[in-house]
Amino acid sequence: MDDLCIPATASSPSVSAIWDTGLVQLAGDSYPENSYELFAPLIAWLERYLLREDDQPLKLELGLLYLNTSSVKSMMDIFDLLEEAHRGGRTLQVTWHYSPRNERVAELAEEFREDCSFPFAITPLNGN
Amino acid sequence: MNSRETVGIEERVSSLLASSSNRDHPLHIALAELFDAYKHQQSRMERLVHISDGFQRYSLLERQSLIDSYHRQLKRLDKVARISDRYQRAIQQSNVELRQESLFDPLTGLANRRMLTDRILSASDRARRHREPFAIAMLDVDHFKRINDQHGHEAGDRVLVAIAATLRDQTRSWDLCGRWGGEEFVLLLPNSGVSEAIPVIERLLEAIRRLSIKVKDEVLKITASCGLSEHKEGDSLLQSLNRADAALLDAKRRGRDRYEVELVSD
Repeated sequence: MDDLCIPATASSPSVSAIWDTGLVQLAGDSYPENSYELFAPLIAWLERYLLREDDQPLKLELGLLYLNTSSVKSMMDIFDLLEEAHRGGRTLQVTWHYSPRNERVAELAEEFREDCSFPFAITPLNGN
Repeated sequence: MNSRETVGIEERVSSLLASSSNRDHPLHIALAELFDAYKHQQSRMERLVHISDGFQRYSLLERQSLIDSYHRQLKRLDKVARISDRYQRAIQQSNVELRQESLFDPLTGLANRRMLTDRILSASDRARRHREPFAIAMLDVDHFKRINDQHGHEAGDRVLVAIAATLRDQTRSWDLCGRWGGEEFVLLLPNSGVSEAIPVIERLLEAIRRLSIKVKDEVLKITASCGLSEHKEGDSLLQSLNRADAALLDAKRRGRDRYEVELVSD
């Protein structure tokens, strides 16, 4: 019903959020001119989803590569939101996928993970 | 006056007012009114202090929460900056790699065609403005196809790498060596006329003759031919290169392992 589907552009990642399955995916580079415009709908969607009474789990799958400063801040906002929900008893899980050819992405994902107490996996993609 | 003394006076006044023997005293009514007014003021004062304390407590709490959130935000900002800096460093590094890939030949590490073209263009520019001559040499490995056919591409690649190293060693620090394509190399010799360029080319061809490249049990000997031309004012990039190329063909026709000079004919 209430799904989010934003296609990727040269400077912004693809964003999809499925209400029925609780699967949220972001992939690609993120250096949009206006990060707020890109992330605000997703943050609003997450806030609505995390208020669901049926306590359906949330699964966030990331395949992000380059992030500019305002995108870094938006991702930290999202992780803060998830942290709060997690402490409130919601079941959720984050997986950050990276290509083994680009270890830097994994190191940066680890920086994000530092303050998170919910399950947060950083896993290499198979096949390249 | 302390609060115990205050309570003492209040009790005394209260019992004097209550006593029936004082009821007709001329000051009784005035004192009773004054005492009511006093008690009213007293309770107002207490409420005021109470409310005031509340505000103060609230403002203390608020201040503390501002300090907490200030420190939280500072920490966050720190983290945003740290992560962002890392992204920036990654981009910078990939810029360096991309520049390397876009300007240099991956096999030999020499300048590629793009970089050679850029540098020859800026040399022509300087030649026009400062009347600074420069020479272009085109060098081609003799019978390279034969090496590839007889010993395989890997041996061919090793020959190219060895020639590239020789080019680097035998030229002057301000000369630019590049791989034009295949087994063809181009040298840009800035600030040099043909007479300054000839010793460089002679030294280079001799060094190539002396190369020994081991392929399995065999030792390959190689030679190269070279065409040299001096840039003529008004020449386009293509014309300068074509003249060096014509001289190279001439060197090949005259038996290889030699150089020829394309003289500027006025």
